[in-house]
Amino acid sequence: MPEGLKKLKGTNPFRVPEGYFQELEDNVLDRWGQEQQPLKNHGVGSMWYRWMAIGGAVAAAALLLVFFRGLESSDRPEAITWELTEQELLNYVTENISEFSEEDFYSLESLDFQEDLLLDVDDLDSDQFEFIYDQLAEDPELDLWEEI
Amino acid sequence: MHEEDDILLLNQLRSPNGREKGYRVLLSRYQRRIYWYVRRYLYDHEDANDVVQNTFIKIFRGIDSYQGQSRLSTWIFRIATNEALTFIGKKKKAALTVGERVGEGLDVNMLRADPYFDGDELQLRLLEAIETLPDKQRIVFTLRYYEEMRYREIAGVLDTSVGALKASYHHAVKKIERHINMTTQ
Repeated sequence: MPEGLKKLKGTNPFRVPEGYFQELEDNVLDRWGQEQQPLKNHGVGSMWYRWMAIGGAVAAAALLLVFFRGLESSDRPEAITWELTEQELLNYVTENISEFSEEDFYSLESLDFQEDLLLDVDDLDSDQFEFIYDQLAEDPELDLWEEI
Repeated sequence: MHEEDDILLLNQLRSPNGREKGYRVLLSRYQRRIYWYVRRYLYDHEDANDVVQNTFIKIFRGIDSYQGQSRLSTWIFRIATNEALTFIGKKKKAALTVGERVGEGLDVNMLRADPYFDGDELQLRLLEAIETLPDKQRIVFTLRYYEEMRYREIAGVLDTSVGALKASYHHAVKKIERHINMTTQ
């Protein structure tokens, strides 16, 4: 390991406000407690709220169904082929609609690593690995590694 | 952290009587590790605080569907990583919307003015160097260098191969070394 990194190993330049971690625990548990409150907390509007939620879920399910069916009918070779019936798919997205969000899709996309580009060097020890690394260091193709 | 302790914790979290206590145990066991991991990635305390809270809420939501195919710590770090990446993505998107410049590297002056940062010049050089790495390489470097996580566990967090991680880590170290040497001369 380079000298600069060795010197800084184990140091931490960041600080937190006093008592932060105790507050963090309480804040997370408070948020979780609020999330666990039953729907009755919506008061007189609860029935309206439930029907709106159900209606929204069904509408979103229908949109997803159209989207997935569009993928299936694509002529791309990697197109997804579904073994579920239309009714099974509809049931699935209806039951799990609360789990889908834009954020979730983004998260999945963000972990799309390019494993095909990688060497299989799992079994090399550190010395062997560094030797190979140094041999390849001048290779212009090395930039491909940057996105690993 | 012993794996057996996490198995006991999981049993507690899945038991109706032990669940409330289980949440506290999980938080006290992991909150510091997750906070520092996220903080080193985002730098700003408030940003890190938001991401850490969201991470634990997602952990609580998902604990019943956790299959135990990876270690509990691996699963937790995976959620934290996704949350941090999502946060960065949203922040970049928001900055672009209002016409701010993004991808210009670390704002050293902002960090110097941060009351919760007291690093020296060498620390700043290191952070600057880390900031130049692509997102995923930064995660690999952070998990290995700061968290001292084994390659096999990082592979579980990022769902990639050990060989890829070794390449990524060594490449990151070389780049950081070059950056530090260049900026301290």
